[in-house]
Amino acid sequence: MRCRRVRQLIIDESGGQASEVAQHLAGCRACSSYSDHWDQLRRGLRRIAADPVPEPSWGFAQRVSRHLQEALGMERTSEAFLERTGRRFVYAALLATVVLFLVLLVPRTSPVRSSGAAVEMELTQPETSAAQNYPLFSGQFLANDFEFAAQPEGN
Amino acid sequence: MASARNDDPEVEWIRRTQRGDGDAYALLIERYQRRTFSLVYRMVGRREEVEEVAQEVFVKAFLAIGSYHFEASFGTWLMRIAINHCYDHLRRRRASRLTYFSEMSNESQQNVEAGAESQQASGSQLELDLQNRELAQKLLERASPDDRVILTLKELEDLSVEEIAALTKLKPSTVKVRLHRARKRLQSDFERWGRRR
Repeated sequence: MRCRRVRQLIIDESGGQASEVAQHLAGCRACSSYSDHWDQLRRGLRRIAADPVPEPSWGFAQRVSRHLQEALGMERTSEAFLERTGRRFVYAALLATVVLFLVLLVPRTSPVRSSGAAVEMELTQPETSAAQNYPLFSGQFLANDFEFAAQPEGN
Repeated sequence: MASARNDDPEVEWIRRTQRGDGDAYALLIERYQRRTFSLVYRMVGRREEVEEVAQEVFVKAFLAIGSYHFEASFGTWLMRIAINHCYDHLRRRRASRLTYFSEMSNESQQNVEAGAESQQASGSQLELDLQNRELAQKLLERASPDDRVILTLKELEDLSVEEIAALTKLKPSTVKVRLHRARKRLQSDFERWGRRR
């Protein structure tokens, strides 16, 4: 059996081919030393495994749980705040949108839009608009509102 | 993997914890704290860090408990979280450190040797074991997080290859290969030091 295979079997601790390994170790100083070191390492590891494990301090579970609940409570508070703030923001944005639509669509009859219409009409039909705005030019004054007294012919 | 029995109050504690009940979670912590402390201590290797790391493990588990669907036992699920957290902890801690004895500077090698030699006295078996323990501890601390995890689970927690495979979600054959390589590296460093003393 080759040294490499023997060392592999030692490390894997498979226990397979034990007699062949033992035979090899008896005749191979390097592998024997390798095996000794492995045994020492295993003893060292077993010592570590036997170390007493530190105990949790008194009230560890309750402390962790309380911290978690506090953290969770704070998170919920901040979530609620964000939700409230977010909802207000959404309401404000909706309101602004509605107002904008109203400004753009509704005020055909409002003073702003009607003065615009008057200017437009004035530009397209100057006589009509002048007659409407300035009754003097419509001829109505001449025809109906002013009566000229007839001069006696004999004078 | 077996899940908790129906008459076990643990199922109810888990369900209550999933609804955000901290008191139920305290009961779960009490049940698993010793096992968690043991695993964390053997992974991390420093008493002063154990409680803090274990606390982080329980916080992580609480935050993730919504994703627990009783597929594995709660203990296995929690140990997986502990292993992953310890792995991350070791990686962070190792960021500025060297790995194996063979990779250490001469000065570090001398420090390790001095630490072990200081305990060398009459050469009794007990003293030799303590000396081996110190060196094994130092070499384990310098092992890569991957090697450390697998060596801890096998050599210190004494788990079977199948149990390690279940915890790490690796195939048993992969666990065997990784374990072999990790042992080989550790043995190589141990032997190298052994020749020097």
